[in-house]
Amino acid sequence: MNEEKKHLWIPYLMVLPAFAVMMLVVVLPILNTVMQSFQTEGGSFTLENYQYFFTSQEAFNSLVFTVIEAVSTMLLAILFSFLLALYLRFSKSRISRVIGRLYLLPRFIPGIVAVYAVMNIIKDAGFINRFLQLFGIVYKPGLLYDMKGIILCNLWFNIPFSAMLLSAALSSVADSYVESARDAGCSWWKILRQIIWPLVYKDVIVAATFILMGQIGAFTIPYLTGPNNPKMLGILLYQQVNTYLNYQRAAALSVLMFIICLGGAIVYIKSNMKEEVWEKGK
Amino acid sequence: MRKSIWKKYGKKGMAVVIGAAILGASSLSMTGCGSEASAAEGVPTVTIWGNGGQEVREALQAIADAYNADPEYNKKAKVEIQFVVSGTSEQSLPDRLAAAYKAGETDTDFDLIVTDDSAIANIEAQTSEDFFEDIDTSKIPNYENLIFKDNIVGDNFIPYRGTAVYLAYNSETVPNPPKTAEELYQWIKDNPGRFAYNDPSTGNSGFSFVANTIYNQLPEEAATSDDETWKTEHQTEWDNGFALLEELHPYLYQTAGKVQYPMKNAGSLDLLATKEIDMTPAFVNMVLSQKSMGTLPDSIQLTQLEEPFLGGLAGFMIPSIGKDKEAALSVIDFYLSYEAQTIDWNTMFASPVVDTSKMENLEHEDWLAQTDMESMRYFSIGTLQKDIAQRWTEEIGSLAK
Repeated sequence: MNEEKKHLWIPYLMVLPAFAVMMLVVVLPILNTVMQSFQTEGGSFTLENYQYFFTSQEAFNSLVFTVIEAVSTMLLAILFSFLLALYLRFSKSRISRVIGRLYLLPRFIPGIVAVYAVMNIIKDAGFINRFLQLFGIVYKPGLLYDMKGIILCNLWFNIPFSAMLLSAALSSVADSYVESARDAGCSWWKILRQIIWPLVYKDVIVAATFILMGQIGAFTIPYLTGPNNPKMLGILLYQQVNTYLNYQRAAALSVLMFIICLGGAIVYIKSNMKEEVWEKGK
Repeated sequence: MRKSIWKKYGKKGMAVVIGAAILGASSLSMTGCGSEASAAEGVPTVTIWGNGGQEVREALQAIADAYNADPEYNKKAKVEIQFVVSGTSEQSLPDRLAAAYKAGETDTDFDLIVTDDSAIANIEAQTSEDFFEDIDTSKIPNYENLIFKDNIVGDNFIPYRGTAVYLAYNSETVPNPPKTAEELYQWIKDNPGRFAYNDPSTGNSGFSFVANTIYNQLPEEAATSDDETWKTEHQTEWDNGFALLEELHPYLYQTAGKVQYPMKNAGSLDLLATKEIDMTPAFVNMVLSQKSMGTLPDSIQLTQLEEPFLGGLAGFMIPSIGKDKEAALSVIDFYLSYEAQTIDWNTMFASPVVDTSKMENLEHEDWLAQTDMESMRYFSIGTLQKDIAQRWTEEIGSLAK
């Protein structure tokens, strides 16, 4: 009894460092930001900071631009990475083994290096343009400084990331399920829809929400590859601080972005909590 | 320490909380090892803090190494460089200074700050007017070498490097570059899509182009004044300037079917290097460095207009929260020596602030003529710079869609 009591505080002690860091660098700044967003420069209460973003055409355009960009990136990344993960899981060929090792490589390349590399290929005087010139074709891709450029760069980062998550999920699909279904005469499409999909769709939602939330606050890629107008929300936020030195408005925008991401988080948590009928007996 | 963070947190922004925490940790550890090292050698450590491009860091470091190797100077101090490279997600130098100041620290390792004069207003706005101490030039023997004696910036600032924006152009496609601002504007209209200037809030070469459209109409003294009345009482000139920018807008570089203002100073130089444009305002040292590295072709030349683009100075300042101010003076002294100025030129083609005829072993000596700092149009308008960038973002940047 005594012995047990003595060690009662140990778990708390182990949690304390992480908890303290979280409080100090995450929770407190968030509370501070929320408070600041309702203040004028002088410190009195105001709703003006929020009003600005709800009435500004520029902010609305940014929101629409960001949502379109984020949803496109998410859909394309999920589609490509799901196909890739399926291939890696079910193909036993050598190529698939090689790809299985290589596809994680982008995660070890610093972001800024990758962005410049992609830019050098897709810009109007980049690799595509120069390569085609060899054949006498003058073609300007018009990808850079456009939403297409942002999406392309983001796919570069997000496909490996979600393929990694989905590969892990697909490894829970035992060969025996697939084989027995095939023995019973199921088509590939049916196997995918009725056996594989129910086992992995939660992870697909996880990957999708991660990608989506990452896009809402994205900065480096849209800053370097995006158009002057409209801007993504991350750039708009940077501009509030850097060009306008308006910290209160920046705080309000941060809170709004936080709320948008919260929507994603709710979907994520809900889908994780939901228990399937067949899981209940486990 | 911990207590002060918690007390401050209530009023100040999150930068302060995080900044103070980082600073607290880093300054503790640094003073820790700093005093250890200096105890062994018997000299204080002077830490120079700077921010900006990688080339600035390399040049500062090269001169610091020379200082530490010099038998005369290394008796007085040991120099260390702490540098915040722009474009990294690092917390910016002004934020760190503000955090240390607001946390009430007095004995930090912010011994010397090296900064562009244009950034001073921002630091002082976040700290206080007397955040930087006046510097006694009589304790800096090499101050005699300086060609900018009538200190335009202030008594708390010692320049060590000049910066200037020139017109960079491709001499293959532009045999006769414009000589005046009017000729330049005409050239832009005659050659649609072949000129670009970067978003002025992302780099001063683009800002310089924008500022000239206003300041070419104002009297000369306006360029060295941060007086708000140059805006409030000269609305017509400002309106004219922005009307001109709007007029030029459709003739600028285009991609993906619309006008695009490149991001950062490097963005517009990239377009020049790939020959997507023929002309752009650019910082002299960036052009020369890139030429010497071969990333800009030799055909890229520099010229200055009759109404020059902005020039500025980078220099040293001593924060009141620093430790050893005497030792800091000897470091400034070394950076003003002909030897150090030569290193600065050879490393990053920084425009010297001393008489260049007394400098030896220069690389590409012929390029010096292009960076003549004595005819510099000194530009320092304080927070008006912010106003210009803001108005540009609202009225001109928004056209690019």
